[in-house]
Amino acid sequence: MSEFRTAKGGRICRKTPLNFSFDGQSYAGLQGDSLASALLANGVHFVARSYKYHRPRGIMSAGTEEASALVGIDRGKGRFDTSTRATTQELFDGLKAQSQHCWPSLKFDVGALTALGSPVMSTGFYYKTFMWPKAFWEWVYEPILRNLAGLGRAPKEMDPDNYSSIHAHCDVLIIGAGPAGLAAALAASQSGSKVILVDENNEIGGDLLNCPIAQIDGTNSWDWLAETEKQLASLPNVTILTRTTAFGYYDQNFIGVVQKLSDHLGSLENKPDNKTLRERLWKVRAKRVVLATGSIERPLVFAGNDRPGIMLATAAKTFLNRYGVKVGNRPLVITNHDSAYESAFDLAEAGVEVAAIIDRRAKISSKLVEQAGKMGIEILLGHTIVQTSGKHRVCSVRAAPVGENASIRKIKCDAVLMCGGWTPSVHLFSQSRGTLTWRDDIGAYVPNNYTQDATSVGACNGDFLMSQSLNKGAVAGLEAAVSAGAKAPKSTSYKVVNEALTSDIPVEEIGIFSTIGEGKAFVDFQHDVTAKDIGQAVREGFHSIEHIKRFTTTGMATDQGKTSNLNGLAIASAALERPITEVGLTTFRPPYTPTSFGVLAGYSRGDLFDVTRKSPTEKWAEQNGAVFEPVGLWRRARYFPKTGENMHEAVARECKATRTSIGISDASTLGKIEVVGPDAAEFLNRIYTNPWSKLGVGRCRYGLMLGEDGYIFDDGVVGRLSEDRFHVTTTTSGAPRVFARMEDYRQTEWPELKVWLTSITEQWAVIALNGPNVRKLIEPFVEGIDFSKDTFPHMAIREGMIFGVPTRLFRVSFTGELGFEVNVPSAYGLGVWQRLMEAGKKFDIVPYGTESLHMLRAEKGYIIVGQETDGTQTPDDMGMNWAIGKKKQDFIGKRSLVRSDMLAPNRKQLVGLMTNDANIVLDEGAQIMGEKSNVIPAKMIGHITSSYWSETLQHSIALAIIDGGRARMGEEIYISMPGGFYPARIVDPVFYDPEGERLNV
Amino acid sequence: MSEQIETTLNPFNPLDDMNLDAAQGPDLIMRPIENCARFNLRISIEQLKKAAAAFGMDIPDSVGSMSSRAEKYALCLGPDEWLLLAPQKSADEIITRFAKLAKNNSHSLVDVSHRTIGIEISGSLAQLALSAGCPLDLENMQIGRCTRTILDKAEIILMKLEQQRYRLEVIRSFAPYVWSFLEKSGQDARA
Amino acid sequence: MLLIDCPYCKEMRPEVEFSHAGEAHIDRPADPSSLSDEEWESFLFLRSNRAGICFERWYHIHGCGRYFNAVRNNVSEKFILTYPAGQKRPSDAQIKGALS
Repeated sequence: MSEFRTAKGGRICRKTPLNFSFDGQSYAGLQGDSLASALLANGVHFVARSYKYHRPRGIMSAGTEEASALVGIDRGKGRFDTSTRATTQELFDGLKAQSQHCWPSLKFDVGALTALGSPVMSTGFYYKTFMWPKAFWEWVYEPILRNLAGLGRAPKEMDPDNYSSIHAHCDVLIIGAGPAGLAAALAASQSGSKVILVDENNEIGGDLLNCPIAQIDGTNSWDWLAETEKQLASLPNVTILTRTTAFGYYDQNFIGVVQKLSDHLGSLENKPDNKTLRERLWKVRAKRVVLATGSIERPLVFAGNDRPGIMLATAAKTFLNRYGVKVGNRPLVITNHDSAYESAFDLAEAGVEVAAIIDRRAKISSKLVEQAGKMGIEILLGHTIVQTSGKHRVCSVRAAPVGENASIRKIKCDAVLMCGGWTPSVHLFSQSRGTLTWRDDIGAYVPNNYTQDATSVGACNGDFLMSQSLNKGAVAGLEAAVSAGAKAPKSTSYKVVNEALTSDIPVEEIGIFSTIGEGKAFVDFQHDVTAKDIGQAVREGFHSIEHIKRFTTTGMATDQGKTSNLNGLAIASAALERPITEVGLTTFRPPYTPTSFGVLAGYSRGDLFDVTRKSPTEKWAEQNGAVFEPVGLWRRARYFPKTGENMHEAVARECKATRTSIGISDASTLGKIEVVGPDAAEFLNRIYTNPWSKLGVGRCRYGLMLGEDGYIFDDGVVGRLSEDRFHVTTTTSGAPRVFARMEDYRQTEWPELKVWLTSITEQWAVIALNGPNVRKLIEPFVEGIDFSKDTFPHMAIREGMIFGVPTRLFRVSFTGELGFEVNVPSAYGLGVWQRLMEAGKKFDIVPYGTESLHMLRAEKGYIIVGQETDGTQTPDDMGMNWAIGKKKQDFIGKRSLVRSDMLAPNRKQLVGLMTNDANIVLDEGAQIMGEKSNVIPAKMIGHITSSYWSETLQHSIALAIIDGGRARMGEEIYISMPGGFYPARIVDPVFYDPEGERLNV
Repeated sequence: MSEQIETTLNPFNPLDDMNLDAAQGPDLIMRPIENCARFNLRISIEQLKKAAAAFGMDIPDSVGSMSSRAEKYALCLGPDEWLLLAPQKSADEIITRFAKLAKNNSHSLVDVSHRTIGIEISGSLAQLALSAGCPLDLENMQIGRCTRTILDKAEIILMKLEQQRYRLEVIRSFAPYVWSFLEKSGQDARA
Repeated sequence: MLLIDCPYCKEMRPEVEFSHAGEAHIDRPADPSSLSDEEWESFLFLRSNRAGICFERWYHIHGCGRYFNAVRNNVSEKFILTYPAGQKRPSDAQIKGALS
């Protein structure tokens, strides 16, 4: 056992020794240790280098507020966590920790040389220095700074851990399981309210864990804690979550909570099932929230206050009482608050020689003087520290009377315990958009106006005494349960003996920074911001606290200024010569403590990263070697290569087969809506540009839908099944927005129409068959439909059976060939497809995907909404005035079509392009110019919207939109591409079978 | 449209290709529901009684309510929207009876039997598995209630049949995703 | 995540079930063709875009499928009132009442 481990006491398990390593050196610790307490038990204080100046740093706290002792924790491949607080990392056997911000080693660090030039690296250094010359930023400064910058390093491997998330609902959520939170939980749970109690520590108790000498209602505090835990755990309506941090407080009592499940268990690398969860995200919705988040001790700002061995006074007490670790053999205390005396007395009680208590105050309570006297501890009243010494650990301080630079006295010590008062943890309260009020007596902000159903109790509300926490917690718990709907339970009150000391702290004592003394006086330990930096920011004209924060970066590190914010405010207040309440406050933002990306991503990784929608025939395509592409959430077959074929060859073969015999393709992803009701036709009249009243039953029509702005919104074929029933199709990606739009008008603009909509997109599998032999293929398998050319013409729909299953058979074509779209109930899509493939063998049927689909329609000049259009094209721009019902009084977007700019002759219009060189396939998106010109800026007259190699025409073809294009037929234009200017001729967009003879066979 | 199909074609359920046993245990049982007839009914609330007569059982009129008898369910999903579930063999009769109703009472009955896949999830962990992706307070959802809602990235129709037994209706192409999600969240609920 | 009181479901429901659908109480003109360019512009493009209490349309897309209206403070994000589409805009007194 090391000389720093006490002989008895603490909450560690002395029977369970653990081995761990820090920077490759092996050490021993105990079960129940934090990494920090285990290091201190081995006499190790120097554990890190600071971020900016690479100064040696030690362990400054015992908890979540730690800003200095940040280390890397290696739990195996892909499981490296950077900037982990040594104070919150529980020790496990085999733990491997590494220091950061140092190279080649912690003790000899090249980066620390920057400290020699530190006057140069004053605040705002980065902003100012690297501004000029501009090109230097990209090539010189950034690569160098990137290499030096950052808080630790991130692992390069994929995170192998499992993360989960859950929505939880409760009556009362209690955040913090110290005395206030526990009393609240006991009270709230009495009458059956559903209570969730969370605490970020590995065990509940909060400040009780530091105070074994306190007695609650005559019971020793630790016994009371054990009894309370037992009682709460036995209640089915109470959920206690330890190692669980409420990191964000959102609207309407929605709280983000992260539960750590395995970081304390050691390496998961050898667990074969990989089912262990690392963290779980609880998305809690609480009727009522009790904030019992405690308070954080403030450091004092004095020259050289950052050496290893200098820590918060309460940290020393926690290490002693909770972990059985003495932080030194000769600690010295510097304070302006009574609570630091507890640390001194507890250490003295444990046999540690306290070097002295330096108290900035001229007068303190006689009880403290008496007690110190009894213990033989010297008190220097009205004194402060003006300098500290010790390279890798503090070894002495120089004390002087406050405000003087004389009568300096050197005092040897191996640790300095500082206390500058206490700051209530109002982070979550502030995130809830509550407003704070300043309390002069404690020198801190406390909650004032609540905007959500919450209440703050205990130290986070400025009530620092344990008895206040318990009693006010009990009342808050009771009220919370009642306001959440429970019957009024009985009230409780607590009596506490030997509770913590508290005292007033005058406002001028906060963030006190004396210009007397040598060395840097740190405010923000993690971001290396000194008191001088804040003064400099003010001198340079930054007067808003938000600007001061950003210029100096104080409070902007991963600890979010837990220990520095108020000191920073106070120093700014002095520099600005404005009262602290007029300086303002910076914003508290989630997360309260660093939160892993893994837990925020939760289930959204791997197969569950996003939904992959597969069409009913996808299985066949998969088995037959299709290459897929994502289309929205859908996965669609792009082409079906035969062995050795590339995409170009496959598409050429697929197109040729479709034009000469039969191509088969899955069109199931098209949106489909069944529009039913006596006013269905009238409804469609208003939705589409086309007229619908006279469309005969059994006939189809291409429909064009505009926005109210007159621009093309969606398109598709609509079939009339009966007088009052239409089968509407939409684009694949437009399906949800078309449905939402139709519902909107139906519900809110035309509620008088008797019409209803049902999404049937996934009710039907759609198999598109195109080519001259299609009729011959399907006719034998269809029942109840007359297939003759005249009774079942192009643009018609029939209902019947195919292969014994019901079908809605559309005679439509998106290829220009004889085409049928076979709709069958989705579960039969695969079976029908397989039968068609089988039966189609004698016609050399060929499956094709989206690539050929696009090619085939482009040869016909059929547009794709979203490819030829970008949301600024009118029907006329697309040459589709034929789709507008001229006699209709109104339809969505009609009024916009007669705005003057919509009628301008030089609008961009759809045209076809034929390249002069048949083999040049133009780039989609390439810009078009009227002349070959390198003059900048060149005048662009349009761009390519679609471009392909046409196997049928043995020529490259393209669709484009060009200023006044229809009036420019035959003109030569130039397309700018990386290889130069390519000439092409403007032609009609219908390249193939312009008369449409192939459709009407 | 008839669902009584005399055919040699086998219906294909996208869950057929999944390992359905992966998530199973006494605390969590998931199973795809056999094919059934599903209809989307839209009708004005005044005519609901007539629709109930055509369907052959009571149809509730408040959003979120559900009635059931034998293997039939009527879910009120919106103020003028109902989902009717029935055994496949009764589909033709339902269609016929609603067609008769249509003569004097305009409404919309659309066959959506294939639009969704039914999944039943039960066991002591069912609620936890669902709560991983569903933001509703399922513990306090009453038995016999139903609603359209969200499960992670999918829209679902959720029916609470018993305290520990739920039925989901999931859009067909989302069903494998929902199944995989519940499999994983169910496994995590055990952790 | 907000909770939204759906006037059709008559329940507080999570925000993820809804989508926002623009400003409320902008009626589509009965006969757009009779409108001047300025009037049509006003209908099509001009919105009040106020900070504070505003009237909005919401769509319970993953719930009951209904569009409805809401009075909301878009600064605090809080919903003050929700009511079915087609219902009159609540009076200042009603909004005040709901706020207190």
